[in-house]
Amino acid sequence: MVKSIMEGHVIVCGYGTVGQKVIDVLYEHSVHFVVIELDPKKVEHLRELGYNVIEGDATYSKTLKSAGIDNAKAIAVVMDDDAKNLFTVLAAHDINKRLFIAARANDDFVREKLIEAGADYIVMPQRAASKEIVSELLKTKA
Amino acid sequence: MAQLGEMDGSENITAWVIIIMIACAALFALLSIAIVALVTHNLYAASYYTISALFDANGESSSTFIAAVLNSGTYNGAFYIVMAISLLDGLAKAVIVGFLIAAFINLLSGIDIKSALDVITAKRQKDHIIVCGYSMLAERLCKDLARDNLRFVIIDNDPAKVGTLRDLKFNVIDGDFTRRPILESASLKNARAVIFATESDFVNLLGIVTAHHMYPDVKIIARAKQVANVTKMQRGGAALCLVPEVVAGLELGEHILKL
Repeated sequence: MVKSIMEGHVIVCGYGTVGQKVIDVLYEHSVHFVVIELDPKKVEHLRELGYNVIEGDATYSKTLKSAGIDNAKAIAVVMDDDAKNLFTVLAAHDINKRLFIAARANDDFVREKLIEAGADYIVMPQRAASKEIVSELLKTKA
Repeated sequence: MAQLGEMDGSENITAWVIIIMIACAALFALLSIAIVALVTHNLYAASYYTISALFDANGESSSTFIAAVLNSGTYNGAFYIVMAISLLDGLAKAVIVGFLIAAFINLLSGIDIKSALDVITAKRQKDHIIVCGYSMLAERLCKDLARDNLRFVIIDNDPAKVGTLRDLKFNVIDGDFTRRPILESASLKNARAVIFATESDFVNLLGIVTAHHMYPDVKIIARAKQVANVTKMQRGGAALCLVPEVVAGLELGEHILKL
């Protein structure tokens, strides 16, 4: 259970590559955050790093509540699994309607569903990478 | 999908059909000569007019053949027999020519014309982008490149993907991009950049090394699955190497900071 005094924090669901980078940015700018992760090894690693971690499944309301979702500013739902992300977005939106929900999607179809479920901002790894590549190509004019 | 220059079973069957048709034509001609020679007792005239009529050579046709036989002086009547033989010639000619044309068309259709045209188009490209491996990233990338009017050529060795891409009217080369001739056929020398976008870091690295060794001045962009492989790809010659998940994580983190 996260300290009850925590307020205006960010919840990061999933400590994969995307989650790791989100945490790096938040840590660098001294933003308070809580990580929800199912894998005990990753949980152990995060604890060693001194981060706030909840071991559990982010798709359950109970887990989200124990991460202090009622007082949170935003949630980043960035697990590898599109279905899990969708369930988590639905659960988070049901608990706290004022919460800013950012989620990861792997394809356009899921992107639409996440928005319908209550997500405010969607990030798609392929789209983000493609954008970077195209801007690099446009710099390389012959 | 057959590689360029390769032949599959259908071309072999077509070749056999042509051989059989030519043999049949020869057999028909011999049979005709034999029958006419038996009736007219003139082997030379029989051979000359049969072959001439069969192939319409020297302006000879079935009617001139009949007239010639009738006027040869060696024929002793039976106009109808000559007429029947003449009709047999005409029929044989029509059937054989028809079969030969059909077999020739079949042979032409067996050649992978689309593949050949794609390679010809790709070879003539300049200041284009080569996308190696049609992955999810490449799919997104191709949409963005097309939106920004950047010309591109895709290389992939999956027949299903190649077929789909051709249906979408993309310029696609069917082959393994880790092989030099395939990169040459995509005109790597004149490319603005080459992007290795498969899901495999190892395959991408093979492509990077090959392309960098061929034309070190061409910009190489690569996708990596593992963050640890980014440095290796850069050492191999990639000017830009990115992990889509890292880019996405940074973008999302930056967005949350703005709240």
